[in-house]
Amino acid sequence: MYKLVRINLNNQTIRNEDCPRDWKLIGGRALISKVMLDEVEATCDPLGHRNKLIITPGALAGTTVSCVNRISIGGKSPLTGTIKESNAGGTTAYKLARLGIRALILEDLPQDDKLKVLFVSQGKIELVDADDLRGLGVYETANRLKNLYGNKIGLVAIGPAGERLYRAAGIANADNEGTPSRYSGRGGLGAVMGSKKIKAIVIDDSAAEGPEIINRELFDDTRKKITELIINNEGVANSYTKYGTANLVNLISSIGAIPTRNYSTGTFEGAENISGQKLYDLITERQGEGKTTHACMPGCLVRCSNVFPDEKGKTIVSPIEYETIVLLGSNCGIDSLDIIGRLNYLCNDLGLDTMDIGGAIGVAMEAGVLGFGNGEGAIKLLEEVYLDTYLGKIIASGAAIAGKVLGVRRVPVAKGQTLAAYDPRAIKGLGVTYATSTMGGDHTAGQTLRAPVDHRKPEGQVEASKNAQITNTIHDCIGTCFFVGAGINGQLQLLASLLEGMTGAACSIDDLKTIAKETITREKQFNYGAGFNEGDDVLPEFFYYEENPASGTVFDVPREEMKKVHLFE
Amino acid sequence: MICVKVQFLLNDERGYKEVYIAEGETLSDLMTQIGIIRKADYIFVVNGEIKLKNYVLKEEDNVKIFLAMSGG
Repeated sequence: MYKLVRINLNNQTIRNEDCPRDWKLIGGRALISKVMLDEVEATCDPLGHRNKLIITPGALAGTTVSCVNRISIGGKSPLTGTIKESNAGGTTAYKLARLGIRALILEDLPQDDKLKVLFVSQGKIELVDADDLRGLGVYETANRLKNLYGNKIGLVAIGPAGERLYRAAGIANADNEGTPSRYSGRGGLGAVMGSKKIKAIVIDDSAAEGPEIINRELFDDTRKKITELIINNEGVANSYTKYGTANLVNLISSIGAIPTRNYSTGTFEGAENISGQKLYDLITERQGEGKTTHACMPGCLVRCSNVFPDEKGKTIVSPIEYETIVLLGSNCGIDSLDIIGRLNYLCNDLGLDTMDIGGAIGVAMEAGVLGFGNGEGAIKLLEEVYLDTYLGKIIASGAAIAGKVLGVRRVPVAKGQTLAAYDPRAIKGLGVTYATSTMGGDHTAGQTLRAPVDHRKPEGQVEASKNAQITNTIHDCIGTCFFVGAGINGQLQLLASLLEGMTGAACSIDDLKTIAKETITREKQFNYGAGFNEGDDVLPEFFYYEENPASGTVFDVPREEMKKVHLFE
Repeated sequence: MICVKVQFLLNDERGYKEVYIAEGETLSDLMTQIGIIRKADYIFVVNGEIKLKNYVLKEEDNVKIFLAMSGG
């Protein structure tokens, strides 16, 4: 039976609980919504003693079936003030599930200022003094912990940004090679971990037995089907595996939806230079440590990750992905993958969300702090974060705060969080998602790019967003990567069968949809308790009145219709 | 017959190609003609706008074909 591990930072005690019997299908985002609604006062200070930080594998985690080992990290967000679930690949979910842990729940605040590491292994979970790691970047933190505990550990860590409680601080998870660059980046959860003085979590699953598979025949049969579908999927092989998510750059620029110079237009003249093809060509030419394809989590067959090298073949960063490329790239007028890669590395090392930092730098450029396209200037801005200057603090607080401090009106956020790399005036279903998501501006809350709608018209967008929000929430609850949906030709019932095989509990696609709808409903209830209401489900005003010149459209999905997005039958 | 310009932005197939199709045919028909089987995986951008598969092609349309995945 899975357990919940509660770590009380105030009295430094650790308590194991059996997972409730009716939680066989509940993990990840669903579990976060239950714990937050039942146990956390919605009006609490996100950085105070009443907030909790929950680290929970999806319900399918712990095996090497492709795409099933996403980790969800959640709590009340200090960036948005809403509930937050931020998920990532890496090995965290796999290792926790193998240890029989459905959630680590960090509670309360410590009585002193000393940093700790939480060590988790089979039969032993303890808090270890780690104040010597104070101020270290994420990469050096990982190196030191691997020297101490071995190279095979799982790792969850924060950088200086999280320690200093900056609102754009994220949480890093180690990948298969132990590189701490799979980010639960969104929503400032790194600051919540920093408030609890946990610098890192080390996970040693070497003695773990792994999850029990109740219906082995169903599980193996379904696993085989999923594997065959993915490895025979031309779309996956020719896009994700070859070019990674950067393959989207040309498409999104072609349709006038690529955020450019702080969302002032949707076509970027330098798109070819930051495209998936360019990235592939550079990695292939430079060789060395570079890899055009790479798996971020155990068993992944999609392998959309990469290792991006410099001209000498040394790694600049791994991975470099679409949202980061656009928000730190075209959104800042920067058309050099080398510069974007360096910015990405610095964000990772500082423990910052690349997306909100891309938003903040774009806003700083609009304010005239530096010019659009000034890549070296952008790097200097992140160096200011290391130095902890006031300008560095402003950037590390994300776009919403940077916009207020720097006197910028056009700030591309929803509920305080930087929008993802799709202009909501050109892909209006994503505009609905950004505005209505329980998480703030977020594409993974409901990606509508593949929906069969005319993206520039308001009609059908609410329905498209609603369906996407349900599907995306299913993935967030069971811990599957969103990309598996395309990999298995949309046959999501296979994921339900896999879960039934694993747990022995009856599970259909309708059951998964119900779990997703209940999760969104609980999240909404939490947010309303925190003081949010329908009036908060909006985009910044300029998207309604300022035309995106590339698409010739404004965001015009009617508010009244958007109110229906979470009305589930 | 009408002529449309098709740009493949897939794998190793890049560059423009002129494709002749019957008048009144749609993007779905074009997909069949050029051998795309898993139609749900592709997005067609016609003259700068995403078009659905029932879009009726016109002479001189500029069609870009993308594999449709999403970001990360």
